[in-house]
Amino acid sequence: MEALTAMAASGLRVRTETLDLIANNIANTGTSGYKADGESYDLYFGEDAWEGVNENRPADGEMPLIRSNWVNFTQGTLLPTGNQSDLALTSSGFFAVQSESGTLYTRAGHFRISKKGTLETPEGYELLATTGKPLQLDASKPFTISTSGQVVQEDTPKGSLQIVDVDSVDNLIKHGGTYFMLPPSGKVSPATNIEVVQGKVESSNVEATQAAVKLVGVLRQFEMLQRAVRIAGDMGKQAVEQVAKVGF
Amino acid sequence: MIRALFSAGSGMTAEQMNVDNIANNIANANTAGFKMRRTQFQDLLYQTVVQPGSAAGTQTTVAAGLQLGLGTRPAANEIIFTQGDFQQTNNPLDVVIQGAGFFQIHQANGQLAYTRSGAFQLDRNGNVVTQDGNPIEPQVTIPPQAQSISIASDGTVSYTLPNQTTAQTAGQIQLANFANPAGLNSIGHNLFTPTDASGDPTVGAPGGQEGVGTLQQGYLENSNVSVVEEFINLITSQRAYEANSKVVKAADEMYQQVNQVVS
Repeated sequence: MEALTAMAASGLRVRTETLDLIANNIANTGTSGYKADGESYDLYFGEDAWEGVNENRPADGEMPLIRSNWVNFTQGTLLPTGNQSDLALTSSGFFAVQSESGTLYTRAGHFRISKKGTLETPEGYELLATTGKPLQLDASKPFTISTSGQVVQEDTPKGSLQIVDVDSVDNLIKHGGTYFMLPPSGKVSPATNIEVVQGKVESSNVEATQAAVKLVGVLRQFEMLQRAVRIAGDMGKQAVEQVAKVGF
Repeated sequence: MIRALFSAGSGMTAEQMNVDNIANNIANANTAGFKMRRTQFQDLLYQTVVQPGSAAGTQTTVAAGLQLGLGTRPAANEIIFTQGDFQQTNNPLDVVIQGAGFFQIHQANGQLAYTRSGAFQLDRNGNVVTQDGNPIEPQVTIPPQAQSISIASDGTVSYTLPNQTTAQTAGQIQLANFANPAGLNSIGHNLFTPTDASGDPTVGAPGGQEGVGTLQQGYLENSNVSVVEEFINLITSQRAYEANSKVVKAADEMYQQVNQVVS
């Protein structure tokens, strides 16, 4: 493939992956605690630009793709639910829950009180307290949660929720179910300036209008790249039919 | 691009389910004791295209990987147990619960079910029953010649007989409470049954230590559906459905473009 076709083809592939990201964002506009995905691209440099450089040099024939996605951790709006066990964070940080595959982090605050008297997610993952264990409450009594995450039942403090900051949010891996997983290299620390709101949940932070604009953009760019592939094909044809013509 | 099509498809299915749920809420806007449900969504699994931390070159690693999500799914629609408005009916057998408790209803199959709807009636034997004729538990019987029925805030049901001044006690209504009422199972007719998620009922007298709430005679609890809120949810859900369908269209157009390259 000559350079134009190769570049246009890789551009086409990037746009399809971008569409996948946008589709997932739009599908999750109603998912509470969902954080929108964004993408970042690699620049394409011609062969000459890599002259004498070995660091990060793509292999021959390797074309730019979406290099990575990044998660947009801006705050989603709070929706009142009227449920005392629904929690939202208006500060940075994550709730820590105990799953069968280890500790997961989430900002989705649909919790419920289990039969055992612990706060848990809809999957039954228990919400962890600062002690690293689930909080033990009396299931039949109402409780209040202060902005600092302290749980009080019948005027007795029962402990505080574990709300953590991650050293670098780039390390977080989406796990599905609005949970994030941290690889062993990632570190957490207790969050400062915690603000917990009881009776509300944080809605998805997908900007529907922005996603729609991006969708149109991707679609048109795809069209242009498709034209580029055709032009490259036509040029090749011209080269064969006109330039290489022998004798007039 | 197949991913985009299915992600958008999952979004459309989820929003469709949300509209189903909103429709049921609105349909029950005038059902006494009805508790609205709200759909919750979750994102699906992620396909990891580039693992974060994998080697990008001889000395560097990828700072953030590439994970492509595969759409959404409706995770649950939990019951929202906020208190509904009280409507005065002056019917002596209309009772509301001020608090978190439930009336216990004896079903025809012998099992107990629970309800917030306090629109009771008398059957021909004088038993206090629901509109479907199921008696409340514990059973309260009022003799046919009873003149006035009063239900105290602690659930004591009393009546007076003709030419008598002292009231007779017919029984005491008991209420039940659940650890996680959002986990109850709706079986229709305003009734709920307990599940593993809701926990077992704690039964107590109104106004007692169990925190089941108190009773108020002559009122009905309206549905807690806010029609305005449901309409707003309906609009957002409809628009989200539309946005997802636009993604399907975009993916389709991109496929067409691909086919044109080949032609």
